Amino acid sequence: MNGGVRINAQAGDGRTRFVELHATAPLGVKVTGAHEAYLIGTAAAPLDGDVVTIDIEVGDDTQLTLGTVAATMAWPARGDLGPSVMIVRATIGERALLRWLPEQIVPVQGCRHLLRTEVTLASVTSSVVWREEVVLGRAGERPGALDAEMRVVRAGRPVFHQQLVLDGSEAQAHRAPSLLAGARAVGSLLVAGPGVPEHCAHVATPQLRGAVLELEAGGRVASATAASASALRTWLEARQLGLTPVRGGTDDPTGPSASPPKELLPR
Amino acid sequence: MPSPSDLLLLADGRLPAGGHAHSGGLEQAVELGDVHDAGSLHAFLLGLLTSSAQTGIAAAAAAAHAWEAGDDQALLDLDAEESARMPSAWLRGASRAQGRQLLRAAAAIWPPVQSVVLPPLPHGPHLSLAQGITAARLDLAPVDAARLAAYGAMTGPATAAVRLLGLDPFGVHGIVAQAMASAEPVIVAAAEHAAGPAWLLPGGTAPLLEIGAELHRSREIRMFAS
Repeated sequence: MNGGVRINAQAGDGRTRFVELHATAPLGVKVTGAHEAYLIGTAAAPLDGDVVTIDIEVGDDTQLTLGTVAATMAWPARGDLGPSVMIVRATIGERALLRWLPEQIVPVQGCRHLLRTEVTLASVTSSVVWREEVVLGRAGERPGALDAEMRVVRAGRPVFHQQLVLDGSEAQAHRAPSLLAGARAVGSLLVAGPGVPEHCAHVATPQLRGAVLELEAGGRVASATAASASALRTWLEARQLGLTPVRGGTDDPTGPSASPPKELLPR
Repeated sequence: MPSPSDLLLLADGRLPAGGHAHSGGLEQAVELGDVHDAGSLHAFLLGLLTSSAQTGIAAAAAAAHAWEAGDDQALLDLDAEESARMPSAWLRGASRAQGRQLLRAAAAIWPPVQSVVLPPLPHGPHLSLAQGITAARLDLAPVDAARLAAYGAMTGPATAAVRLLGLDPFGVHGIVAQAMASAEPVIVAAAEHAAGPAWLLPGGTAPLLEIGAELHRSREIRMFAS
């Protein structure tokens, strides 16, 4: 299945104006607030062989928060169909803010999943909050093969580049002490933009190891490995680092919803 | 005229370039209990070869190529790309400190015929860039620079493990030999892609190395700087 979402958001009068809001299976999209939309899975995807593309354009002076209503499960398929591929591309304009706060990615045992993320910031006035969390397989199984690469560029200069690889084999090379040791979940929350306040944190408990990392090109990444998806989420949530968004209207006092609106949750 | 012996001198742990003060993240991994014996040390090293060491090996080969070609912009691009792949400020500081020390040591050991003019990097180049530049200045090939970077990335944590855990030095050197065999395809690939654009540097992430570096920074007592 090849499909995805195209979103072009521009500054409107008190709310974000969606110049383009187009979705094809396996994804749907629904506007849920003045500056907020959610992506909805409409099919069991991605399966091996699927190509899903998410294109996001946030215009100058625009703010947008995007979430997903459920975790993304990457499924194996019968036969040799090649990996499933998900491409996420976001461009963020001058004085604009994009918060990308999706649910977790779960590479199901036996899958092969390729995630490519490209975030382009127009200038130092552009802001982004970008969350990426991976749960290493469902309960009681080892994870499938995952290759997740993310690159953030500002005005043509690299800001952040990371690649997480799980080989999917029984050997589970990612359990190396230098990589993930025995963690069940790994994730990061990147915050970049003007006025990102100082925020220093590091922690090492049996449940979670995490640190806020200060990027050379400006911006911060909270990075953690955890024993569970919930421990990871709780720590990352507290690391949104107080980025003050450029308010587009008065009807969005608290920023992103903590959880998807009720009408979007599966019954 | 290149002298193959120069590569041995550069790779020697006794080269007075400050490498002995760094454990390549091993000390923190020991502190967390993740590395505690020969087997977990071996896994630690193999993990590096798919992540930070892979980036460093590729950057060293590319820097040697860029220096040979007189391409300052490529060196600046490589430095920026390596920084983007090293989110921990503590690790970047350790890398640049070792880069500066290597250049200083090399200038004293092999006095340049003309003064070496580096592209503008106010805090010094990353270690891998310094390895590439130094190798190229001695007429060594990009593949030599890659091997130098790989050897440093493996022996740094390994010798630290002997000191921190009291592991059998013969066994540990056996692990280094095995790890270097595992590194060979990475070294060859780095040399093959030495002329490629900087943004194509491998970007493998070692989450616990980055997180561990910040935990290490906060410790009051430590044997190694990083």
